[in-house]
Amino acid sequence: MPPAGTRVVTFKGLVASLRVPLTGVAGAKVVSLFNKVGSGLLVAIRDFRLTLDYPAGSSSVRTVATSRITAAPADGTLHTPVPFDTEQTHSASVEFRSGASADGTASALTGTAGDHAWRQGHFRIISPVGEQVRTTEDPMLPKLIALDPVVLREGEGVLVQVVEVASTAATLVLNAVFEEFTYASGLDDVLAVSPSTLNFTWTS
Amino acid sequence: MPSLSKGLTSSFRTLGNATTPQNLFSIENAAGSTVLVGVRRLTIQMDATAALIAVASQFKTSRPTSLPTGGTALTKLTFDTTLTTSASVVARGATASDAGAATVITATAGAVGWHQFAQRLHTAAGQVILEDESLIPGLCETDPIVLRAGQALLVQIVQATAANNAATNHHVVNCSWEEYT
Repeated sequence: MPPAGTRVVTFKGLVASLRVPLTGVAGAKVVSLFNKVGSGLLVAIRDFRLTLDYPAGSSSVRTVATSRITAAPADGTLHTPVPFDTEQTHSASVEFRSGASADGTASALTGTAGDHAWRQGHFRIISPVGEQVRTTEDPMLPKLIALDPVVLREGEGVLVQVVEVASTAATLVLNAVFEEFTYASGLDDVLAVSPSTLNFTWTS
Repeated sequence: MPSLSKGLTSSFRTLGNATTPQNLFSIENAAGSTVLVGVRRLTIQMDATAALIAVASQFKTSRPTSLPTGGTALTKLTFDTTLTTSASVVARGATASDAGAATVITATAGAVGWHQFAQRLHTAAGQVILEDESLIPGLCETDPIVLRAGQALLVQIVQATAANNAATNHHVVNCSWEEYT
């Protein structure tokens, strides 16, 4: 991924899901972020983290996974991202959806998961009779994306879903930061490799 | 972009009020301001003294639909005392003293940019750990959210039930920002 200086960023935003409750459906979808065909831009994901609570106990951890997808999800709730700077305008071709219609009210998000790119175990409560429930933020993509983002080209997206068996134990929130950008003219093919690769090919 | 000032402020310890939403904190760059504000860090710490067996408290950060009013104007400090903070930059809290009477911040939330749990006590026994929970992305430390003249950020508690936002919950919000042109 080329450094930020080579991206022509037209929008940088932060967006949050509603609180998505699990409803006993196996493989429940939590959120999606998708760059639709014809958008004319790319999307750089720079932060993608999930936090959850267990109002009830759970005999096994709720593993949540992020996968790349190639079909635009539907339904759920379409969210409006908040711009870092209101001088920038969000493209309607970039869609962030969550599987709720209000906090704690499920509204099924439709999408087909691909191969898992990042899995996160979070935490669980053996018994609800604990002391303090800490709701930590856990990354659903590697933390290094803050400086070296995951790129979504047209017709690409990411989908977050609960991996294991049906559950009603957890309630989840996901926050994201992303940029909409284009490459400076002619740089796409050259720079769509890692900076470290470029460094190794340099000779004096 | 010359940096003119770097500021920090903290709310007083603010009690839950059993309503939803409860406006907890705001920072604004007043209309007509000649500076831009880059918000670099915005966090909450929450303590609780009563058990809660329902879902934990939720905190939401948004750009409000108009500038907030009311509340308590919080004292602003600077990173270096040679710096001067602009009077156009106003931070508001929802009380004027620790655990004091409410001073209501009037504001209407916009689209939510960051949504955070903090903690809850399933049983009021054992230790309680207080940690900073981010109300904006961590990367804002180096890539801040920009408030232009007439813009603000608002922090709200949004609860499923009144019990989630009991008066036995205590909240402190900290904020750090930069003023520049």
